Amino acid sequence: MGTDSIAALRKARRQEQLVSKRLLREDVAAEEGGQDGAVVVPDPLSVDEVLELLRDVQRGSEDRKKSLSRLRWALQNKETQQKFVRLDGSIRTLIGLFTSSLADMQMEAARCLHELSHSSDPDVAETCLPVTSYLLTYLSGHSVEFTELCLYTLGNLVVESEAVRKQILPQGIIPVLTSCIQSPHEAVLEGLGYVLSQLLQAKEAPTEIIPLVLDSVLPQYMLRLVCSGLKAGVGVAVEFAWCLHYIVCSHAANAVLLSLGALPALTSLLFDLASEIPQDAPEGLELLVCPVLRCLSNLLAEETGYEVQIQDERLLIALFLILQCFLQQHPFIVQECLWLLNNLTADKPFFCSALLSLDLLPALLQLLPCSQMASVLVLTVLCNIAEKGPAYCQQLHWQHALPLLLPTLTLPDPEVVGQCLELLHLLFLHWPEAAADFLRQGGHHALEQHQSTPELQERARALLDMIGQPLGASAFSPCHATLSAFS
Amino acid sequence: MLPTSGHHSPPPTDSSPLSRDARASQEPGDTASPSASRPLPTSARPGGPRLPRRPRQPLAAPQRRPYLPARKCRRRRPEARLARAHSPAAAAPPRAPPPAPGAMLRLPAGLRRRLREGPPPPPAPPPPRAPPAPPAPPFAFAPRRLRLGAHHPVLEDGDVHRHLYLQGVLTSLAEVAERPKVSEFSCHISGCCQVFDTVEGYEHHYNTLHRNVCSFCKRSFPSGHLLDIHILEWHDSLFQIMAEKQNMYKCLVEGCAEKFKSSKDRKDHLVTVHLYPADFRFDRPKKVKSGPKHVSSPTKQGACVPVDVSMETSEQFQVDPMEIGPSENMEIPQPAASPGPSVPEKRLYKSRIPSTICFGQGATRGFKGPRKKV
Repeated sequence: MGTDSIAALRKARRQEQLVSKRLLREDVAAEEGGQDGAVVVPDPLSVDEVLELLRDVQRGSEDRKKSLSRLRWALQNKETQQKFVRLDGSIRTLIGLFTSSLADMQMEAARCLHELSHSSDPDVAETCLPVTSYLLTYLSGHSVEFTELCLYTLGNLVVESEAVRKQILPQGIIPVLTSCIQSPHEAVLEGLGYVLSQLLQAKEAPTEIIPLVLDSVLPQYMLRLVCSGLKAGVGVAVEFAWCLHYIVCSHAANAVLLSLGALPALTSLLFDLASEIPQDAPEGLELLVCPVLRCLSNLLAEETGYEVQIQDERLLIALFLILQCFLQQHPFIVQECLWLLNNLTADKPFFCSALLSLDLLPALLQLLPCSQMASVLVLTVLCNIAEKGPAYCQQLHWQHALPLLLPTLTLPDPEVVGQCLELLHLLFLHWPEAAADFLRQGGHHALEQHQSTPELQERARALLDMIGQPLGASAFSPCHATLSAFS
Repeated sequence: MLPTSGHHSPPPTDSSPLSRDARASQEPGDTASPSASRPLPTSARPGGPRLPRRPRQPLAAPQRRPYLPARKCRRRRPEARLARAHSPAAAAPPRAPPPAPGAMLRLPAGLRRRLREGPPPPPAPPPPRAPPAPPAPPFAFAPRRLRLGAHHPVLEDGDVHRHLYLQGVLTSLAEVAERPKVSEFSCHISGCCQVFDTVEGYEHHYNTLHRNVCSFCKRSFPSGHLLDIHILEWHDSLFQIMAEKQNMYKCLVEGCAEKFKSSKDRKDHLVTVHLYPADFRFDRPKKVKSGPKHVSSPTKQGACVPVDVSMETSEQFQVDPMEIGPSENMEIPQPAASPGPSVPEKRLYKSRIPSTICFGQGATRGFKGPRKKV
């Protein structure tokens, strides 16, 4: 099941159709006699059976409550859902009960609606359109459990149907969420974060939704809830961290988040995360770490000058501690960390120098073989360092980067090799001793292999020329002058 | 208060920082994508509306092991959680081959300590930097900070992991920290006998049940916004006079500043502007124009104005129509529905909570006044 669903998720993502829903159920397995957490999905009912259930629920006989529970159970089946929503008055009946004075009926009706919201059939979601205004109204009060159920139902509907999204914005979801986010209850906050994250993923979010969110006080609360994640609920922090990520990566208005102090706040959260997690990181923490890293990376990519504030080598320490924690269980964290590392080192000699002086280069080089993506990113970071000049190249050379680069040159992937050639060029340019050493280690053989690869041959030849020249300093030291003459 | 982004306009697309030169734009993201031949998602998409279709079967599978945010399921013992941490399902999407054998990352000692010690002394100035030079062809590397959009391939694995979690395939998160327990106490509001063992529980109870209470008629409202509107329209003696001269009926949707001449106009507004459903309970035909009636007897209203006659008044606050029991709404599809069965439950409910209080945790409904009995 695992690999199937992963493949399906990847495919959906590439088609920009990746949506997921959450299902809020009581422990049905125990309730319904399932074993080992395997929930038994009920068999589909015939149209007549569904109609009879509906009639029972409408009729208000003595065991209406029981009928409603049976309906809720039956609605776990997708076919039954489809039959139910096609029946005349079915949703109206549920709305009637949902807005009723009978506490347990109301709860049960809410659960029925929640089952329907989990359907992957867009028709089912569309028939739930009349429900949203009631869901929003009831978010303002009631029991925690009820509010939570309303939130997850909304979150499911929102992601399924653009019509729902188009409707709940004028219905005032943003002000409702703004008052709801002040709830002291983790369950409510997590549900709220879920709704928001679903909304913010919509394709129209950058133009239609994010501006409304940024206009409200939600961002302040979101930031606070993310940053108190280790003290309050991790589940809450996870949801809001993904919300922040969706806002930040839309690049719609990062100035707002920056002015709220997002950069120092998230940086400090990263320090806390890195210093407090045990080596065997608890399951689920990567779900918080990942969006936090992304927000930092994208915020640092803004050309604002805010990044000057965070010249703090502890960022590097935190990054590598996080890498160490998650490398084995969650290798995807590697590329997320390396992306941030790139953005830190790209134009900040400070971080390049700190990486070397903290002796983190061996760990960085250790990440080279993790994956193709990791290789390119590691090499890019090394290029960032090498590009800073001779002193940096000297360090790279002295810390034995070359022997690890040689095997990289033999990899089949032209992108990886290409990036490696770029790095060698910078090393040879700024630190000719590296070129001599490279030659001694037989590196020219590796280069010669690539003379026939179209996208690599020019660079391979240029490097061969470089190492083939007499290695006297005179050949290389005026290179900057030469280069500036080119420009 | 929030600064506008006005003149500061960052490049609008994530591709722009990568596009300064063609070669460099190939790294690290695109080229790093495991299958370089895979079309970029953006180019793969036709311009049409996004249909959030999901592949059915594989994604339906997680239903069998649902994520259970319900509290009782979420609070796992820590041991159980850690034991599950190594279950196969918890393994990350194995796109990247696992790192080299013995892959524990070797880090210098004392890093954690340095992190905890707080900001280090100001660093020594980094070695002098060579003047940045443009790359000499055929080399093209130029350092740049990368700004990645939501659909960038670098983010694929992380996104997949997030969605596995949402779909309940992964084990759920660490248990929620238990609230500190205090010895049981009950709500101090007279007539309310709810008992609590956490301060938070009491706070929420108070907020929902006792915070937004009308001091004139003792009704409780789901929000301060609705309470304000209620007081204005029901208990402000100047309201009717003012309403004849200017628009006084505030929109019920929080955040909307519109005001209207009558509650009917407001209803129209709610339906057309806020897209409230046409059969929303506001929208039922009025049998009686009860304008004068509720002016003359606002205090009586809670006691004896029959619901069906007072549609006008029930529009006075948004939730009022919603309080009407299920039976009425269900009479539409099924006229045979009788209000009968709701009566015993109602009484049960009333025996616990004063009838004037609505929208409370125990009440789970709103504005159930004695009116219904009539």
